[in-house]
Amino acid sequence: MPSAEVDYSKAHDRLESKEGIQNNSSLIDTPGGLAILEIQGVLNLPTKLNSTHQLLDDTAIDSDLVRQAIKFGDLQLEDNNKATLYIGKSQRLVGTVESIDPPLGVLKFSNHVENDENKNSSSKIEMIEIVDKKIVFRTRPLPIM
Amino acid sequence: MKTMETYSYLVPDASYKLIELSPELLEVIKLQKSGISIKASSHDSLDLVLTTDTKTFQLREKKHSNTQLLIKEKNEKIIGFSSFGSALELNKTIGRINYSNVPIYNGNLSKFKERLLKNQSISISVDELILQSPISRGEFDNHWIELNGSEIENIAVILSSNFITEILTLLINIIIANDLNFNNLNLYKIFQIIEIEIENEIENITIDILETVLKKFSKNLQNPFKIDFLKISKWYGIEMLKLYSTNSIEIDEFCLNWKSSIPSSLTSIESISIDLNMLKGYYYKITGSTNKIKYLNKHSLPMDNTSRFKALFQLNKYWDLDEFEPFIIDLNEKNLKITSFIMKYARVQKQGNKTIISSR
Repeated sequence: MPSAEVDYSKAHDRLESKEGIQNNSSLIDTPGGLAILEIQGVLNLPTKLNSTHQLLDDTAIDSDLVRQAIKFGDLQLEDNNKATLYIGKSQRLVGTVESIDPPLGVLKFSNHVENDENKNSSSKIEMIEIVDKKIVFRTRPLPIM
Repeated sequence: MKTMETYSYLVPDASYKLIELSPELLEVIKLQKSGISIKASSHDSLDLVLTTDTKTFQLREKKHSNTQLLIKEKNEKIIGFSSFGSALELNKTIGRINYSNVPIYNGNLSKFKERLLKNQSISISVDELILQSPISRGEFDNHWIELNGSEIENIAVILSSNFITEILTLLINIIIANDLNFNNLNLYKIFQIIEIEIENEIENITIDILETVLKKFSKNLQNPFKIDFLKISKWYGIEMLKLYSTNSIEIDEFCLNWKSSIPSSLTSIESISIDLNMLKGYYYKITGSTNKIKYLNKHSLPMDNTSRFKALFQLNKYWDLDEFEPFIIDLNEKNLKITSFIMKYARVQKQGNKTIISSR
């Protein structure tokens, strides 16, 4: 730092395109396709992998970097803003799709070296998305029956 | 109904942060009218602000105990790629200029240059100062003029009060002698006159300095300038008050001195208002007296709430609310009603149409 400009052109486009959509009730039907999934407490993922784990190689949304993701459940969305998250084989969480007020901006921080002669390293900050919906699971896990 | 496999990155991508968007910031993003920057107060500071072109917001990390996953939908799968235990919260604040290292210029260019050679660390430009200060551009422009900020050969400086008075007096005399219009003053024309008429002064006065002084005493910040006589009167009043920081003076006598400190060339052609109300925040009445005042520099007061109130009551036991308020207004960060704020630290009493503040 000490000062970095925030490039918010993508967040702006997001607001513009949202105005065109009349009935934006579906969850991740946004141009950037981002939302928030909120669980009370901590989501514990396995630290050691074994053959039963279902893995997925994913490219990051804003770079070619490939990262490994692990399956931790199935998300079921119903039309009436209800959501169920099945975790593993024995637990399910019941939740709802809610609006976030105030909406949350998603900031992406990246350090890069400028190509000028000074080669000053500077940080680049981009607001890539505005998220206004989240799926919240407030209750304790229930058994799958 | 729709069911999707749900994944999470084994190592969450830590380069993302969530920020709560206030209606003001949403408006900026929607209309694209202003730039947005994030600034640190200093290189090693974790104190962050977000600025638009005209406003400054403190950024605070708001922690929560829930897990928030930022998810995306890809090929009918949900992938959580970043995880958050906090979000950044915006609180509107007053921007500050980090001017502690900015040198003071008292009108002697050769001495100033000598000092700079000895101490290179103090030479930064105004543009660099803006980048290093937790303040929006619009607030900076106003606050910088209030601080007597200017620029000499690309170095940010603060003009000394005596030097400002010197230039102001010179400016008034030039305007009157050349029959210029107080409501339509051209910076370049005045500078030209100074260059021709006042040869021995010109090496110490740059066009940037002249512009600073014109901005300081005008109703507008752009050329051509429109002089604000109230600002001129207030300036001479404060400078006169500064003479009474150790000894008090009676209000009537002070007002006479104040009036006579304003160049008579100006008072003879314009009616210049002299009213002690203009100097609130610069003086206090000494205990037990209703007509004796002393100068008080509010920047010399403690920054902590309790100590500030205590220090003020040591100077005067009973204050009028309107004379008290300017000395503590910056402490009222939550913007409470001013009497409610004062009541936390002092006694507030109504006496007729006056509100008296005293210690508890």
